Amino acid sequence: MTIVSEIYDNQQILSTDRPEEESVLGSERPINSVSVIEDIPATKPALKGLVSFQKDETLRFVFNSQPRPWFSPALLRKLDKIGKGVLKREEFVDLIEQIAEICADFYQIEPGRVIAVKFDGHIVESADTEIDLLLKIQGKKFDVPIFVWKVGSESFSGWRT
Amino acid sequence: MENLTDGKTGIIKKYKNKKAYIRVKGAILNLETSRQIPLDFECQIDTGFDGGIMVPDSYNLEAKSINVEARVTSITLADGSKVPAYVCAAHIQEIDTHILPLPGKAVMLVMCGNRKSELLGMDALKHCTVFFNGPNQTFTINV
Repeated sequence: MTIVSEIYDNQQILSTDRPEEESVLGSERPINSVSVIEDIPATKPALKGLVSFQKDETLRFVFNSQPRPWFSPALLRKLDKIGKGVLKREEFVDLIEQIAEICADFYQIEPGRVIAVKFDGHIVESADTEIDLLLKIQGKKFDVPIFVWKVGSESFSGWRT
Repeated sequence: MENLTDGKTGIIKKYKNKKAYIRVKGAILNLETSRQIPLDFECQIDTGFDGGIMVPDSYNLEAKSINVEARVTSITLADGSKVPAYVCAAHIQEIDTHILPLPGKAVMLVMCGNRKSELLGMDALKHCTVFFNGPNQTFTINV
């Protein structure tokens, strides 16, 4: 149990550096959430060197950050260009398409659902229809700018065939 | 625009410049503060547009003035190209002479480009019955 508690202590230190973020989807776990497993029955170590669990001990697992979709270096470069305001319209459309596709794939969002996604890759809200989503997120403030997207569709609205 | 009333099928309207236009009134509402930006358009009906109302992107600043933040997305134009646009919810309260119960019908307001005429899309018309009579250059709308 010494090993487990050391990890816990280290992660507690890391967790203070990150701001709190809200999460919506079931696959996400809130930052700093702690899973507690109590009343673990005592077991006998089968082999020498293995950690033994004592009955009165509690295991704690600390999640410092939510799972993040993997962004390619090219995508990160485009995100950086957004901050500098040098992204062309076509590049901007490509960027949000790529982020939306990565997120929808990562969180396994079914086609047809509409989602609000932060530019860091987190899905902050989802709904069945575009107007439901817009009403849900109206008035909400987010620490990172967001965009809206319809999963499995080429765009959110417009003239589509 | 001349209205020809037909009691059974709604209001018959004549085309204007070979296009179907209809008066739409509504508002961008901040539901928390009750502040609003009134909308009053002579909208061109566009059955190819699947959004609610399309307006110039200058409305984004007006929405911001009542703390309604439009969200960025991409939309497909009629030529197939994709462009960034802002979207937010708006409420339609009147379609021609039909008055809808407050706060109105929520539709998607798409802010894009700087075109002069506003467009009324299929999302705004999904509860309406519209008949187009091409030879007579008229259309009938029943809300």
